[in-house]
Amino acid sequence: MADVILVVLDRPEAAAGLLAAAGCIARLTGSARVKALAADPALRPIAECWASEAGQAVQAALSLDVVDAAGRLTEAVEQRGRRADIVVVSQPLPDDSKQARETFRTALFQTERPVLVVPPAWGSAFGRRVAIAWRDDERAIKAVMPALRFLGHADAVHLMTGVRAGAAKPAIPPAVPSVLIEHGINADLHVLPIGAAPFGETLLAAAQAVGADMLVMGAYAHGKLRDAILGGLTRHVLSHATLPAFMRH
Amino acid sequence: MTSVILTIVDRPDSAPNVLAAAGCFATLLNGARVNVLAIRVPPETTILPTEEVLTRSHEARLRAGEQDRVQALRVIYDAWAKAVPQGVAPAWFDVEGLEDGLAAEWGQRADYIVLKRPGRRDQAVDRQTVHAALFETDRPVLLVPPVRADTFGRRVAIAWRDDKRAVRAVLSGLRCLSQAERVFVLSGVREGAAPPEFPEILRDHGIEAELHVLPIGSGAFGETLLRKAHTLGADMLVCGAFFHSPVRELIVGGVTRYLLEHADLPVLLRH
Repeated sequence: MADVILVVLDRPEAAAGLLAAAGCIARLTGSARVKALAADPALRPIAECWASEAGQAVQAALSLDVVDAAGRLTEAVEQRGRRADIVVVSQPLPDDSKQARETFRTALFQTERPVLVVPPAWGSAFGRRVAIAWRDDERAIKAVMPALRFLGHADAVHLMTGVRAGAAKPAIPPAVPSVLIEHGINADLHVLPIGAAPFGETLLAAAQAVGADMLVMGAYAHGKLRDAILGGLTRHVLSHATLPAFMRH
Repeated sequence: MTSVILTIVDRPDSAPNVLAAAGCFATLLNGARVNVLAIRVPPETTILPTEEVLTRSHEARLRAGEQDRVQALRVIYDAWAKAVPQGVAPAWFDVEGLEDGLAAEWGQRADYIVLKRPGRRDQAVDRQTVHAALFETDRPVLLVPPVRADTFGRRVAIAWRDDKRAVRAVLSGLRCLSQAERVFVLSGVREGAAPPEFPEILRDHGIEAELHVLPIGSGAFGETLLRKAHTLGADMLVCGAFFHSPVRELIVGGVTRYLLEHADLPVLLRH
């Protein structure tokens, strides 16, 4: 079988970076088919150019579907995303249209698949030095499970977990979780203070300090998913990350 | 990375079957660590605190009984672990606690969970364990029938309907097709409805399979599915698992419930 990577090309300027990211995942998984969804027919030449240059090197078969109306793009992301192994999307921007936001949230919350969020300026490979934002809950495990396949290829895995400053010493000290040990992944543990500054800031600074090129974390939301409020950390990372974030709700 | 399978052994009569199936399943994943969990029931959970008193001697007797049972399981495990196929790394864990809670806790960090299919005469706890694994972990569960199943995965049937549960089950099933020689898609159609199409998800992933359309009639569709699977010589079935209410025990979906009670081949289920 081949893995299926669904790339959502929603804006022309991000297309090349997203396709490069999909190619990087294809290399990490060994065998993959890249399926691109685009809202704009103008993206076809960009995708075809990428496929002709990188397609063979990454052994990724590209197929591109142009969805005419933006509303249909959201619908297509939901349907196709569900049957893909991973969905690649661009990081949301402050001036995104309502429609673009809707498409992003659909990818993150409605597909039940892991989503790679690629920042606008990202242009290189990733997956060599991976940071994991860890807390001992169901969401974090759900994000780590599909990421394990990539972690096996990494040179270094950094597990980052927050401890509230001044809190009583926890009964069980932070440790590398069983899910990593049992899957044969070595990780360095970093305990970060949760203080006055947003934890997202501390986390991204720590990730940068260890030279991480990818961040794995659970995507949190409160309330009904269609109009959910993103969790504080999730929102911070989505608006500030300068490295690809592998998220799963 | 290594894949991880969680399996739970509970009775010496069913344990050899479950372990054999877990070993076979590990080879389908091209090798795996197999966490084998034997769970001792805490004495205080076996009495009604309002009506009974747990005397010290009764508690000691209960503990000793549990220890004997787990010891017998350990002997079976040791014999199995000595002869597992290459690439399979077994690990034994003996813990005290409630089976459904432990199944959910250990299961959520395993790639697959392998459990025996509860028989009709089995206790409610066996069903609760399967339900916890299926509905509380987000992981796929392989149910092992009470008959010997140690070579499967060569002829795989996929019960298909175009919805998100089936899609999730198929995504998990795709990773176990390494030894598959034939893949069958079994899809039901009601009289007068349009015939189902070949699932896009298989086409996208480059899987060749034969589509078989089965009539949905007045009888149990689960029975139709199993009969067709046998006619085709299938040795494993992949299927989405459904429940329609928080009171899981009552309203597990019809086909899911039928398979939980009657499947006589290994079934990979995912909610």
